Amino acid sequence: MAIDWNQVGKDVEAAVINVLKGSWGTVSTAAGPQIQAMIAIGQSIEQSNSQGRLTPLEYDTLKAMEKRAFAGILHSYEAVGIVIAEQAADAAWNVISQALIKGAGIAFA
Amino acid sequence: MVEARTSPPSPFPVILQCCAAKKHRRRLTLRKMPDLEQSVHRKADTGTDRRHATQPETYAQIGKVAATGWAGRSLNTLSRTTGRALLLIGLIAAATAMAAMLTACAPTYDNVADQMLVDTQKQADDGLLKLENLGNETDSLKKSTNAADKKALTAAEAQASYASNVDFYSKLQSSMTALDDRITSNPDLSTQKIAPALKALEDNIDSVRQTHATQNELSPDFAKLTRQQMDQQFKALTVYELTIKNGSKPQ
Repeated sequence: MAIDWNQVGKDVEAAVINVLKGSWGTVSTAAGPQIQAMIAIGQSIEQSNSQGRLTPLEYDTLKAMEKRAFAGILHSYEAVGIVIAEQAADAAWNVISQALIKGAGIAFA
Repeated sequence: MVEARTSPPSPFPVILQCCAAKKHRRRLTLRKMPDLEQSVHRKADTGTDRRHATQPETYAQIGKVAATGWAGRSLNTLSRTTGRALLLIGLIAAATAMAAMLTACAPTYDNVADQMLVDTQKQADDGLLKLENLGNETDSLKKSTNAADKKALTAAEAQASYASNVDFYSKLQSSMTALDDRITSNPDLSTQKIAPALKALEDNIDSVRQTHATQNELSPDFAKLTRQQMDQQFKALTVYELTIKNGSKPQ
């Protein structure tokens, strides 16, 4: 089943806004492109997995890197503390992870 | 205050002794007018403060002394006024500068840090692109049964191994440490905000290194995705530098 990455992008943004709430307006300029980068990584993971070109360890590393990068950018804003930043990053990647599991059948996602 | 005189007339005119500071200044002004002082001092022996003298000639002498001392007093007044004005200007300038600093609080653009950022990104890109190309080469050679290709595969795998790329990771992490130190050494509150983004990038480089060390190789797709992901992080730091360069305060 093909993944609708446009919808995934909207779901990711909604999940992040749900965590950041009022702070989203402050961070959206920098967070928006980072969310798009996460979506692009998700799409690439889907393609790589279909060709058997990504190991489970590499997927875990990419997941950790994406969440860390997103949390780092959010935490750079005074309005967002480290805990909230990590929660937002987790929420964002959970949406992508669910899409990869359900849409691409990636077991280790 | 008039001093009792028992000795020959003092060079200091009694009539101008209205306070200690003025007395000192007038000493400097009137020291060279002995003829006037003499006539004034004829009355000084009575111990009376000459400002309150009633004899007309004394008033005349007072006027003459005042007139001739006008230039000196004016010079003293001018120097006093000028000094106060300069002090006031300096205080206003300092207060204005402090106010500007407090309200703007924008960090100073550091062209060295900016160049270090560019150089470090290029270093990461070059290394990861090399690993991606080696990964594609090994994947391609693995599909071949040609003896020459098998020999080339061995060489390519050796080049793609962790041991052959330890230098890349070490130098890249060293560059990141230097970059972090340079950017965060800027004595501005906003530089502390960029510290989490810098640390995230450093940790991600370490994650790639650990994955490479564990697997002893990196798939070409992983190397490519890692490069894309790090480019995003470098881009965020570049936006920070360019914001400062434009004179704005990073959010």
